Amino acid sequence: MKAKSTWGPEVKVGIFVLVALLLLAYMSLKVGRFATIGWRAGKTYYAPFASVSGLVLNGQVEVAGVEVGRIKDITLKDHQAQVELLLQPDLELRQDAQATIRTKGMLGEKFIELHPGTAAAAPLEAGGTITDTQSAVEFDEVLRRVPSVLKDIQPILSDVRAISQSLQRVIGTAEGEASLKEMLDNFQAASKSLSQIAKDLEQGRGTLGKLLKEDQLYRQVQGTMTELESAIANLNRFSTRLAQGQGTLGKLANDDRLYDQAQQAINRLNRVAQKIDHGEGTLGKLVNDQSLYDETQKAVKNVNQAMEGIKEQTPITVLGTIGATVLR
Amino acid sequence: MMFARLLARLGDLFLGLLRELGEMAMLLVNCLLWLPRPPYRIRHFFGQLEFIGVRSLFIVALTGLFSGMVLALQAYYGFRKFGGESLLGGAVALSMTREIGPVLTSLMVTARAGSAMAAELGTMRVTEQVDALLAMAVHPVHYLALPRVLSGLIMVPLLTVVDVFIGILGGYFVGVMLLGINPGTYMQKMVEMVVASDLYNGLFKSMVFGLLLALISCHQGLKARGGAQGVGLVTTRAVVYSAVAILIVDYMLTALLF
Repeated sequence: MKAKSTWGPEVKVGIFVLVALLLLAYMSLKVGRFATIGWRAGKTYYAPFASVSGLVLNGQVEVAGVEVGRIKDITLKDHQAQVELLLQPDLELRQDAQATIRTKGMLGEKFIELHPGTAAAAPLEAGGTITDTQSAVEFDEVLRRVPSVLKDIQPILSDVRAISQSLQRVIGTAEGEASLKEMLDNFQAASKSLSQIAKDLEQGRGTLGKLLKEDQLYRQVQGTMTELESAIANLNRFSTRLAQGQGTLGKLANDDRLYDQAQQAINRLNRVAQKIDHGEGTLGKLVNDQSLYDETQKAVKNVNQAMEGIKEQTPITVLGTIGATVLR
Repeated sequence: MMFARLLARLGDLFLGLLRELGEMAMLLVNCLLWLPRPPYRIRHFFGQLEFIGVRSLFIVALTGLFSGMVLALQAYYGFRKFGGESLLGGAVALSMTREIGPVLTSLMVTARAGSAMAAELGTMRVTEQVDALLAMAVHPVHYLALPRVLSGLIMVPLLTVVDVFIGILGGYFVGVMLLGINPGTYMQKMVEMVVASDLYNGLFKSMVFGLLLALISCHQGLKARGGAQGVGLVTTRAVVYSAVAILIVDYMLTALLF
């Protein structure tokens, strides 16, 4: 019984109270944002808003989603809502800082989102006023605009429906689907070979690849270019000489006499050809008179017949000769 | 004639209610008056703390667990109708801290400890032990009522803390393990929706309930007349009056506090 007395009511009550208080402390820490106590003596700023509807005292002030302060006071000043913000002392605001009232989710509470401003602007001292503010978008305000927006959207929607219906007609059928599939297959093959080409290029394969990757070819091209250059220089010299009428070709190009002589020769030739055409002289008759051709034709025919006769007689003669030789 | 008797009955009831309230107020004032006076009887006080607090722990934890679990089930049924299942954690935690925790804990303590208080003090009254105390110059309020009322005041909030915690655990179990709500979302919504004042207002309520139930039970016990039947009567009254008072005061406090 002595051992049991150490577990008297005091100890039990003590344990129970301790456990309950620990649980209370744990839950309090979980739900109470005690982290804010650390900077209760923070910097104060002011921000005028056109409307702070839904904003509450002690509401959150956030920068990039991180809580940096609380809403200390909301007052009316010059028909505007003047919000007093208590911010962490280590938060630096600039002159171009922005404050926006936002809502957490669809049904969540309102809070103020701060953009501390750009580094280029001058710093905003504690107690200063954030001038660039934007009030919350009110839900009923949005709802009020819905009908006119819907009216605008209606024709767009019907357009979209028309497009999708025609698409449905094109692609929706089995045929359309097949062709679409084929197209996609082709596209895939094309892109595959494209990627292969790119890979080849990358690895310096093929002419283009070599062109991109190898120095040798470049040097060759360089050499060719030098040769081409000298060739062009030669050509240049040559054409100069040609222009000055030097050398045979130069004379040919520049002397008119030769051209005149050629012209005369051609004229004569022309005249001869005309005579021939008109049947003048031997050559002309030969070309134009049909009778000579017929005569010749006949003569050739006769010669032909004579030749046939010789052909028929020849085997008999040969046989006779052979027979005589054998019989002898 | 009939009408006059009805009126008389009504007046009698009202006067009785006022008398009860007055007597209870006097008991409270007496407790406060005796509070600073020695002897302090620490061991006696700790015995009461143990009886009301530690020995109620199991029943309170059990109540908390199941109330949290059923809350999760019921709230899920409601939230599912508009796709707000993710709010379940917050709903369970808010209900537990603000309402279910304080009220159910107080009712359980009433049933377990309040009834015992009334029966014990009632028996002492009818067996003239209270008169014996008076004869020994020990005031029954100082010796009997004060430690009990004080214990109720201190222990019911602490029991409520346990009840709320275990209830939230039970709700978490049902919501996350059985109903398949994302644990991160559940915790996040809970922490987001519940603020410290929810918890503290709940605890303040349970403090008032603890005081109330101890006061009513002691008062009924000390009022016992007759024999065993009288003791039974005051015990029943203590439980019924306490429960009704807790629920009525709960509404008033909620309307005032939140």
